[in-house]
Amino acid sequence: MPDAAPLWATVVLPVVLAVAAVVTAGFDSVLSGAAERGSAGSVREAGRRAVGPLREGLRLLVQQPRRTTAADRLLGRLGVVLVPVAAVLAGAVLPWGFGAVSDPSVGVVWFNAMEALAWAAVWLAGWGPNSALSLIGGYRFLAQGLAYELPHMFAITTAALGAESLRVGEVVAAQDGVWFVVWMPVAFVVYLLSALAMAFWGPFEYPLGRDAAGGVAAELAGVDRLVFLGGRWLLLVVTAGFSVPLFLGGGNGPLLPGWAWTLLKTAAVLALLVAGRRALPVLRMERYMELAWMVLVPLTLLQALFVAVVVLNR
Amino acid sequence: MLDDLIFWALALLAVAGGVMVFRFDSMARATYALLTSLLCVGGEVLLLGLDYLGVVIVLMMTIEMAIMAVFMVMYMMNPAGLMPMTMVHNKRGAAVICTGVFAALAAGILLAPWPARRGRSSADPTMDLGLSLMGPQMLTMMTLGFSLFATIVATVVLATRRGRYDRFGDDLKARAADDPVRGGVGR
Amino acid sequence: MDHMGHDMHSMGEVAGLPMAERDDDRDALRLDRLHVPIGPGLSDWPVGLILRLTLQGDVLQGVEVDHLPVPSGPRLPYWDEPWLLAAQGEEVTRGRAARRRCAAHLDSAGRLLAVAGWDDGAARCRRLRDELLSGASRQTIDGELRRTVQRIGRSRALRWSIAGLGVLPAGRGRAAGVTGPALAADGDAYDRLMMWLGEIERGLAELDEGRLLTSDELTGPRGRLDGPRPPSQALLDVLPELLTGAEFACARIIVASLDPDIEELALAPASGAAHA
Repeated sequence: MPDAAPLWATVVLPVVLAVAAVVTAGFDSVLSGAAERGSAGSVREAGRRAVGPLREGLRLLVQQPRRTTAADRLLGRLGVVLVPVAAVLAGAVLPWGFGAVSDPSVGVVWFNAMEALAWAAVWLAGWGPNSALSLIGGYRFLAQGLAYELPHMFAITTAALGAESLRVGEVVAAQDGVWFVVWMPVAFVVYLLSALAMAFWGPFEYPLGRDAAGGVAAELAGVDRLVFLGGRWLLLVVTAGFSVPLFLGGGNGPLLPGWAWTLLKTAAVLALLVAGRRALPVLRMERYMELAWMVLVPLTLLQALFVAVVVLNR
Repeated sequence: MLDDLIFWALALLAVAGGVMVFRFDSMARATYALLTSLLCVGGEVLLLGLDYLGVVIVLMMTIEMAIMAVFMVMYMMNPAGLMPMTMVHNKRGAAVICTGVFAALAAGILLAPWPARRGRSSADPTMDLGLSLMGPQMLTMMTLGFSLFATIVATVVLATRRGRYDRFGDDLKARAADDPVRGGVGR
Repeated sequence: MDHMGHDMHSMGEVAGLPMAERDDDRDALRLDRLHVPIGPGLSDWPVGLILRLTLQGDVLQGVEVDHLPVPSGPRLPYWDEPWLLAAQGEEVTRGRAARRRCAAHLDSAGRLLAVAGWDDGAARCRRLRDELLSGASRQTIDGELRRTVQRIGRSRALRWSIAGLGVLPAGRGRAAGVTGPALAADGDAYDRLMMWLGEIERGLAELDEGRLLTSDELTGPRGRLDGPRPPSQALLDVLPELLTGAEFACARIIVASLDPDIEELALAPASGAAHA
């Protein structure tokens, strides 16, 4: 089990997550720039596109927040702020290769609980502005939650089952030899799907869908919007990053030190998600719900059963 | 010392949240006040060293309250609680019952002759919890699980207005179900 | 939990906003209904179209189609321009008409893909549309256009996502006076998209065609222009029927898959009134 990281890690964690989020958003921006305006052509142009999200963030900082009539500002604000807070709290159990900010004995459950907090937060953010479109967005996220949460829980339970521990450090240690992704491929794929769903990003952008004029974010402007959408990128980074200790062996790997492997694997997962997003339209919940309950839940249950049998006979 | 401080802070917040459930006039606020209260209870359980139970309380209650908010609000489409509403029926009776129950429970806690701790707390309470639930009580838990599940299925079956005959025709031979909105598996 | 008196539903306004009142919904529950207008200006929305929706949850219980007044000036509707000019006796090459038709379908497809949440596909369609309209030659655009069309046509996720929405059988379409791709598709939103893509690929072969349009070839991107009503009017007419009972998200996709062009309504002899 890795040692607990020093205290400074607590302060550094949000900064590191934010930097990772900006880099991921930049990568995404380069890819969508290629679709919108053709390939960049020069490094300079690619760089200009990559800092697009940063520029947009600065613009939002100085933009006037929008007020709506008869809004529930307390709850709306709370929802907006809770998104990045939940992301950072969930990130606290991420192992960095040499230790995590905190490695509680029930780290896996803690991670899941913080995601659930983000779940409630998005609904609040949709509820707050007193606008039909953002409320529709908020409800969509709850529907999305009902669709992804159960397969997701089974997927992370499967990893914990394989390690016979809920401590993230021990889950990593259990993958010293064979990574969990090798004998839990279904759980891994379902985890990646639900990681996207949790970050309500990419194919799971439904709560923020363009068809609802931005859904939850329809009425958000200025700093509110920055915090909310920035929090979404943080969530994406954290949930994608958590697949590394759960399924990809954490910091285990030859030659390089643990932190480097963690970084490499996290970057690879993020790149896969960001690039894969380009090939998919939004998965609408009325369709995905049935798929999740009729196909994914049984599949993840079978996967868990398989792992349980293997563990019992070990 | 620090533990005491946290305990009292969480306890006061939990009670305050509980009170606010009945003071707010918006369903969403009431729900989330209740959630605050329950999260504080989760914190207290964590403080007792029962990590698993504490975190599970946080997890389950968050999901539960979010869903509850939807059920409460979906019958009223007014976003952001435009329609002010009171959260209590029978105000006086409710107040009397609540105070009575709270006093009785508090008195019970204070007056009960709690036994002193024998032995030491276990190193892994999560494991102990699992063993005591799933070891000698396995049969009970299985029965409980199945009856809960059966109840859920039965409730849905009773509540749904459309059965398979509505969806697939009287001879159940329709290839695609006749649903208002099509699902994703193509049944 | 109780309203302050159950009889206060008709209390009108709170904070200047109308309150929801109750009615039976699709599933025979008695729920609040909310009146939400969408349009005339929204991203990825036919400019000028207004739908006055009655929502229960996110199910559409009632739909009223409306639009902004259409200025009936000398300017011809942009997407129908080549055919109308030819009808007026000007010399218009088939290549120019094919170019406009391809661009119109790319525009429509871009809107539909954007609403279906496929930003990448939508962005590609729009870039190609702009390149076509700015006069890109067939050689420069052919490869990428074909690749994009194939990529969209092959996407199983897209098909899974929008198939079965807004089914418009040919019979019903014909009765409502629908012509063009929406009638030929004889199916759902996905079929209509495929019909556009097919016409784009066919139009691509004609881009450099130098022969002239004859004045009786009056079929614009959205249908026959010589009928009693402009094709978009027929598309607007079938909207309430297709939308009622659909969910909000499906509604946007259905509208985008028909993609009525409000500008086109100026063709009607008496479409000055803003009420459909």
